Amino acid sequence: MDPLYMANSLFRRRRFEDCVQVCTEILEANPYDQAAWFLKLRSLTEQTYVDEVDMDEEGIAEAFLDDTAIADVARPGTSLKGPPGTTSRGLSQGIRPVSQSGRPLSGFVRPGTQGGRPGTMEQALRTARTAMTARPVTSASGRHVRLGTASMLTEPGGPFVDVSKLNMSKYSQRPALAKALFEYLFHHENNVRAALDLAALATEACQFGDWWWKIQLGKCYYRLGMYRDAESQFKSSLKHFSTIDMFLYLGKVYVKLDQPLSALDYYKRGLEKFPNNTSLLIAIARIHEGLNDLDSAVEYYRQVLKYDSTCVEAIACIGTHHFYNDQPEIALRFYRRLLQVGVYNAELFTNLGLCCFYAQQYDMAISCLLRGLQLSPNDDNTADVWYNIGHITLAVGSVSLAYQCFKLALTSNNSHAEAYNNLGVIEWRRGRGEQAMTCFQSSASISPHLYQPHYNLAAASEKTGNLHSSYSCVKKSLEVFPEHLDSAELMKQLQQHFAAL
Amino acid sequence: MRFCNGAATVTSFPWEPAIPINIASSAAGGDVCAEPFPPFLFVCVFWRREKMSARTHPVSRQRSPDDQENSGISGAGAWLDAHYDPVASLYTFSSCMALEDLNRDGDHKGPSLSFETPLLDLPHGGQRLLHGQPLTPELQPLPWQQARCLRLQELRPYFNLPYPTFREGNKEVPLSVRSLKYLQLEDDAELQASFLATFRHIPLRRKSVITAMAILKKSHTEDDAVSCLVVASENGDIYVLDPEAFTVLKQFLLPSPAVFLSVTGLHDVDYHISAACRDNCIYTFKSGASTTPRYKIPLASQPCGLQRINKDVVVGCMDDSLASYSVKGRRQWSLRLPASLTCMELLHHRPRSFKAVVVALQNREVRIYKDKFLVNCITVDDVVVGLKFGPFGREDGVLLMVTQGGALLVKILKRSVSFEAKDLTPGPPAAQLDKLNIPKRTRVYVEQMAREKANASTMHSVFQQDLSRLRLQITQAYAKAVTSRLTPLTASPDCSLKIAAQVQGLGPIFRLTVTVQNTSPSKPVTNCYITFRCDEGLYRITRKFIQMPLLVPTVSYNFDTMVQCTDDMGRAEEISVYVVQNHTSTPLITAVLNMPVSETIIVT
Repeated sequence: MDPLYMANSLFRRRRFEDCVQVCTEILEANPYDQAAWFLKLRSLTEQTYVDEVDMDEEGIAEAFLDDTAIADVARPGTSLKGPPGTTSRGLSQGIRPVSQSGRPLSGFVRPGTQGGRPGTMEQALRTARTAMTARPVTSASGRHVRLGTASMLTEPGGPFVDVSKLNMSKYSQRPALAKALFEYLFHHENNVRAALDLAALATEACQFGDWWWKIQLGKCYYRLGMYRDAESQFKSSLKHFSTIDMFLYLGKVYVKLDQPLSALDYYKRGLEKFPNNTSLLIAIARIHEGLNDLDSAVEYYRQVLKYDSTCVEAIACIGTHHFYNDQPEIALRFYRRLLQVGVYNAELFTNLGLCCFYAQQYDMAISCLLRGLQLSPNDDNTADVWYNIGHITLAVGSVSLAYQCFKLALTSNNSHAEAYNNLGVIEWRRGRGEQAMTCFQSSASISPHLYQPHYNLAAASEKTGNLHSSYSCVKKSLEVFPEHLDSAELMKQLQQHFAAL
Repeated sequence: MRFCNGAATVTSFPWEPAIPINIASSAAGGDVCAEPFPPFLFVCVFWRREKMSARTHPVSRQRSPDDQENSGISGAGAWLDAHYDPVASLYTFSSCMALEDLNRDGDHKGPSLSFETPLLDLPHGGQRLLHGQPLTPELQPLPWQQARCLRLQELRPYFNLPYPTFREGNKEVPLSVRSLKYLQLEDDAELQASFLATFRHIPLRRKSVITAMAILKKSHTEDDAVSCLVVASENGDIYVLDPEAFTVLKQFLLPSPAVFLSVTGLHDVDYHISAACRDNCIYTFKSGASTTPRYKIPLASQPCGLQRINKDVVVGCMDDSLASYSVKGRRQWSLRLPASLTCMELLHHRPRSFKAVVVALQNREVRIYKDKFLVNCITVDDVVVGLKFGPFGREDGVLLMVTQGGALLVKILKRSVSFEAKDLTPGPPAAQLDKLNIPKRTRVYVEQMAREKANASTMHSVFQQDLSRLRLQITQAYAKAVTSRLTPLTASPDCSLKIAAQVQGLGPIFRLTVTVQNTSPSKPVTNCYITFRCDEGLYRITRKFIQMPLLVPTVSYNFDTMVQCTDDMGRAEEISVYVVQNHTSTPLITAVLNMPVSETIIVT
């Protein structure tokens, strides 16, 4: 069989490594075989191809050295960063817990849903930046670097294409080759600058008439952090032609620029051209979730499910929404659907167990939780499962079991702030004030975004007569959760105390 | 500028000679301010039938951010700024301010000092008093420390009323100083005799001081009608004095000294005297034979101001509350002020027959309350300590304010203004109408309920089985954690410690900080060390063994070490931190640290 035909077939069957091998053999025989070279380029690229449209992680450097930020305090409802305004239509923190950025927990962990915007450099560099919840230093390193190094190592005898010796202007004149080469440079070599050079030359060669090159230029600019340039490239390509990707890219750029409303605008324009596209719908739902408008987010997730009933993200988010809206029986249905779709992990079983318990299906609850415990792959997850079991035992009425569970959660994850807080409450009830205070203090220092440890600390200090520290703690609690009634009440009480003095 | 003139009379402290201070001179004002306790100035601002100048001063208005209820109720619309003198150096309170047409000649000399009279002592109050012949205004400053009334006529001290010496009608008179002295001499009969001989002819009198003062119209309600002076004393007496002879017309007895007086009615017809006293009560007297209070209103806190609006008593208290009571003591309404109250004044705007209460607050606001509704709010640069409202110049409604820093502000109430007392929340509170977000009972829920009903016993037994299994698993895991001391907290009674570990840095070199705290209330811990366990091929720890000092209870100790990641493949492992004690093979406590991925390669 003709080896090139063979390689072509392998490529179509997505057996890229075999394809590369065959192409290498052809090229060894005839180094100038352009077809083989092209095919090898393509198959190498396909091996490391990542859909750029998907959300990417925000590095520490971007979060701190943000030169696109205009106002420190954005108007409520117009920014994804900072604490959500009091005008939020979501549930209160008392019912739905918050992530580190002060937003309600999402049902689906995505880059950016956990970290949010850390308040201080120290907070950003804390232990939480582990291998699991990796938050890279910059988005230029992190995932892209790892992919780059991985591809480099698999290459015996040096790189396939020597980037420094490439004659860009020669390749830019040949559109088909140039496109393949660009993708290779961008995805496989991870050499964004070279890719940008090639794209600039190529778009010039076709008199700025090819929308594809404009998108690639925008992608390069985006990767380099030049969001305004990326925006203009994407907009310009949108004039020639419109694809779903373009709207998604534009939305991504606006999210980076912290203009969620513009992003929504473009997504909706995209929906006019491509009605009911699930990618666009999910993107809209994510932005609503980021803006703390959970009802609209769930609305869009429902639309997604109409057209794609196996979308894990939508199912999980709606399930979480129902759970925190006091409808665990509905949430149970959604989580069961996830099980059918094929998700089989500790988080899902824990959620199932909790839903069963709160929906009064007691026969299933505990076995689900125990399954979750068995399945949990790492200590962080185990800690969460123990923490949830602790809640169940509290509901059953066994405080000593709950005490043990929270301690086990802490054994698995030393910085489990919620477990520390609950442990403190139990200690306080047992009359061990000193221990309780220590627990509250640890909880508050690990997670300053939780209002509970601050309030508990304030209440405990008030009981022990330490009014001043109580005042400072309750102030922090109100900063985190201004609508918390008990804190406000305590604050009033303290103010009366001070006025009487 | 042709404007009022303030008449200032200075009384210095008794051991210094009286120094009159010219208000207009800023240097003098500066001198006064420089003293830690400026001498108390008595100010009376007199009333002139002259056109006022329209000179205004820019007064910066700062809206307090916490004040949301009075948005839209600003002082800007209702008032005209007539005069603002920040260096007037007036240090006085509402009780020492009065408005009077001084000369009755219509002459207007501009904003200069009209006259000043040195007083013998600190004044306590000043009132405009018309006696015998109408149209001779008089002013009555009352010294606090010496119990007497001083009357000024035609701008000179005119009459000095000695305070009545004895309190008649009281059966149990407390002993006077002289009697006490006499009783102390009981051991020495000779001395007693000589004491008696010396003081026998001098009438026994107990001096008292005046605590409050008010005016009661004699028989007509007109402005120029003859009026009686009502005086309250430290002894707890209230005297109504005759306008002609200044004899005591009527005496009332109070259980406690009065601090504020409020009088309505006519002496010859019927009148009420309300007195807010130091025992947190308001007592009300009626004209008639009785000398004891008719009604008693207990208050929650010390009164700061008392005003009467028609038949109700409005009182401001030290607990930042403003409340209105009927004469019989029923509370009509009460509201909480945003800051403490400094003084109160009645706003009686005759052309519109509008009565309201003006309240000056510690947060530099002056608020006007019509019943319990805030109708107007003025923000001033300083805390207002003296307020007076009344006719002034050609205007019927002028508000004079004296601030803590000695500034004088004059504001004219616009003639066109009508304050509207609106209850913004009629009916039940808005929260009552909010619908509770109760989730619907879903079909799934009903189905599940049916299932629960059908299989109740099996569900229960399965749950109990599961629960015991869970209990076993928890206990096993806990026992394992406790015996191998994996917890970051110890619970043993002899040594209770807490450990927390943090890692900082981007890599390949990290700083590892271990925080150890002795959580026992009193017991120190000694002979403890920190060690680490990690993959030796991956991490290199600089201080593998850290000796800890004596751990004092409740103090957190930080120990740190450097950790170098020797791997450039982006691997990350756990590091366990142990606290160990001498002669034991198991650690006391453990902290497990998930190391971050080391950033070794940066994109070129």
